[in-house]
Amino acid sequence: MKKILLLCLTAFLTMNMQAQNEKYVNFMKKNIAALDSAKSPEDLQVSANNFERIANTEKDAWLPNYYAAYAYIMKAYYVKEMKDIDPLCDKADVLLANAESLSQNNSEIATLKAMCLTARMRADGSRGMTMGPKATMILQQALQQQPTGNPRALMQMAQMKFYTPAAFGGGKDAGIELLKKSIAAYDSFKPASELDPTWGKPYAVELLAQWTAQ
Amino acid sequence: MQTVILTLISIFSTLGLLAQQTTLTGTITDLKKRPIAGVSVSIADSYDGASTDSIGRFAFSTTDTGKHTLLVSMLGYKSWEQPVELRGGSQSFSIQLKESPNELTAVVITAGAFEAGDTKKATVLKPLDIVTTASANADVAAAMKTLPGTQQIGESAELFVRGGEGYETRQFIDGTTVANPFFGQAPNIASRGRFSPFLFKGTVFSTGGYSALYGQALSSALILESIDLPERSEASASFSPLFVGAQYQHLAKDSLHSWGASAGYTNVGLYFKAVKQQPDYFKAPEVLNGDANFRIKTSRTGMLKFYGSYAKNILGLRNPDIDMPVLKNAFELNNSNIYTNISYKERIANRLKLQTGFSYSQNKDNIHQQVQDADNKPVQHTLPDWVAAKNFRLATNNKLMQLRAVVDYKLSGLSAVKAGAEYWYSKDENQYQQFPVAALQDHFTAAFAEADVYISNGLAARAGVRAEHSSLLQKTNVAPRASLAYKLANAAQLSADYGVFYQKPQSQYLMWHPRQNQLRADHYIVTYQKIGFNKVFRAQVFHKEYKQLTKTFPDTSSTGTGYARGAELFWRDKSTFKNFDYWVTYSYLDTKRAYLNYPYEMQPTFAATHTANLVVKRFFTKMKTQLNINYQFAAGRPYYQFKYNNGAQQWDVLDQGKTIAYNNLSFSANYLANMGKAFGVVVLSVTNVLNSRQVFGYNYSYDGTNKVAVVPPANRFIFLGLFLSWGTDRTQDAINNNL
Repeated sequence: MKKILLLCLTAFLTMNMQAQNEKYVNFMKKNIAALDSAKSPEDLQVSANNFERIANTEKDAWLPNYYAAYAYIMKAYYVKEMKDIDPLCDKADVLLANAESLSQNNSEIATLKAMCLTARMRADGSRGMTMGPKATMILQQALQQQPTGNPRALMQMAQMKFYTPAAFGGGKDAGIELLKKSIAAYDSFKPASELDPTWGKPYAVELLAQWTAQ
Repeated sequence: MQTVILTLISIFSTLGLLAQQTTLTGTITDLKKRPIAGVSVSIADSYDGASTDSIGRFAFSTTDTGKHTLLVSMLGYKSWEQPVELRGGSQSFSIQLKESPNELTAVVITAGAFEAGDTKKATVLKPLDIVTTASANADVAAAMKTLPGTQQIGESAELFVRGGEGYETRQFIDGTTVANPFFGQAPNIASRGRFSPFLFKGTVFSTGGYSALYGQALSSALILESIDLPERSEASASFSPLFVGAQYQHLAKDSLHSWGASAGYTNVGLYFKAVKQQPDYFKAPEVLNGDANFRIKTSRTGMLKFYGSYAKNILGLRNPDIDMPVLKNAFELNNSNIYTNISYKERIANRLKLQTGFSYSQNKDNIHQQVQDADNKPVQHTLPDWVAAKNFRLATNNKLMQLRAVVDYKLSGLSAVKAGAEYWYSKDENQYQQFPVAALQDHFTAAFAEADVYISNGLAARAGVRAEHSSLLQKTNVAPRASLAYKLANAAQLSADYGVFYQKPQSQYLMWHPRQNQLRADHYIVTYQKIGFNKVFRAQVFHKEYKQLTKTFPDTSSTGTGYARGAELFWRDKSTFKNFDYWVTYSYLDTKRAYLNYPYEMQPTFAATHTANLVVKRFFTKMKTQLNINYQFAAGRPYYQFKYNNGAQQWDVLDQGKTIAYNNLSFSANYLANMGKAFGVVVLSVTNVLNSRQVFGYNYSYDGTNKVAVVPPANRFIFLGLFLSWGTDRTQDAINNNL
């Protein structure tokens, strides 16, 4: 009798957990799709709020923190007032620190950290002195953490090269070459799970068309 | 058995059926009833929630029941939460969010100071600006001379601020005072700062009204914060006809600690052979220096840093004797200096930070002055007393040890309370000729507390107090400080600062009368500041009262008085002219003081009424070159000839006048290039390009018949150097810096 009761309870709990997991996966999928189609800072804020809610509930999952940070960083690229950039990046950095505590040596998290620094440089060009090399270093780590090539880290690297004059080891050609590498990496990229990051390919393709046309 | 299962099933399904929906709706506004969009509204620990739309409305439903917490949060606002009882139906909310003070939008209490840093909003200069200011040649203090409030004093490396003497500006590294921030210098010839600008990540230059955390600086504080862990390991070397240097910095693989060391040798002899100097240098300035550091990240929030340096410098020069121009006056200096600094900071509890520091320094000067004949030999025959007095040897040995601890407790928002204490032990030993003078020892203690209170984002106040006791002076002083900052329209603010500042008299005066009062200055400052994107405008007016200044002969009481008042303007613009970055400053100063042997309040010899600066920088990406131009102007400074009147027992002013105005146009170019595996910077700089005559004052002979202008050793200084580094590509920095 007791055994059966226990069995029932276990079955119930498992079912419940599965249901919870299904709820998580569905919720994430829905919000990742919404984030991919976000077109304004307002859309991005809604996405960030949604992911933060999941992050606050699912305390062991790095992905909600990651996506919330991504939404904040994208918003930092969108905003027109330079003074708005730092608070958004500060918030993103907190979320990324959370994500990192749940998943160490994660190439995707490192890539976002570099993106966040690049956004901060937009607020104040002279920060390049300290933040530029730091962003490059983090991206190099990101590439080491994923030897098969993280297409998002490569795209970031490509953009940094593209906007560095040729005289300083960057240049248009160097940028385009890296961007092509990034697109190739997108083609062969297999995410670890259905919720893992896959974003960026359409933008990379669009960027390549723009750069080659210039 | 079956019944049990059935019961269980029915319980589960009932639970599901019972789950009813509660709908939550509402609007969210700020305190002025303006709707806020994008606010997150949620049930704590649940997926259920929503974001407000463009008119601040939200609506969502939840199947949760019972007691929960409704959470409302938005970047830039204080979070709001309230318990809710979910029992189906709908509930409506009307919520007002309070803006949370944040560093970016809040008023700045320390608006009067000039900051160089990467992150803070109040930053006026960037760390790189110190290195690329044409007239400064990478000297921290010299770069500060392009800011308002400072005098163009060519005969000293010290900073003379707002009618204050060079002695009245103190430098602080990680909280503790630096006793001898400059290399030993010959009379009326400026030397350089001991510390490389690359050692610091943050520089705050306050020209008055600064925090109670700092003391013993009557006019101004230059507050330097050393860098934490370096970004990566790096080796570097520098070459110039004037010096060679090498440096290595190692960052551990785990990025938790680093160490480094450097050594350098400077010899100006070769340069002096090529470029004629006014004095006859029989020992060209020579410096041998080395330093070492380590930094340990003791925890996520803890950092331990050590920096230590040793330097030895010598120089010897001859000038015609002012009293007997057939003779010469030879001056020789031998200086050695040790400086060490250990600091430790840690967050010891939530909201509570501890900062401690220890520093020790020792400075030894050996000065030998001699009257010589035409063949540079000591004069054998009897000389008049006032000439013979110039034959002497003086040895000084100054030690200073400091301990300091500060706790910082964060209240809500940006408000914070700080409190701390300091203990200084100093010992000054002097030997004149063969006679040792009694050593001067002081146990100096200070305690201070300060509160920053942000009443709102737009109004903040600071109140502080500092108490000091000196065992040598046998005096205790209490110095109150206060500031108020009020935000006007966007990016503009008005602030007012008040403070009482004390400083011990210089040891050469304490030597004879140790029981003096501390020098005192009361500051009143009003600042208007507007910081836009890449633009900074600042206007300041100030008034300063000096009391208890040192007097020398015949009145040796510390009853000197004085005042300084003026207005200053600063404008920096990086965006109006493409690729150009420039700043302009103007300072007006009205100051008089009765101190030392001044018979009454008079404009001191180090104070010019008008001072102006123009700094222009431009980076040429294709040429990989940054060009910097800097023009400095100062109106003429007063000079006096005093003669003691035995009958009236006072000093008479026999002659006085003003020097010609000071003009200095400097130029520098930095060329960046990859050289093999190294990254290189070639620096060429020329001061006083136009070869303008510069006169800093006049000296008079004992009998008053000979008047000699104080001029720089050479009108122009040319520097050419190559700096190489392996490990970091600084080209990228420069590019990003100028994009």
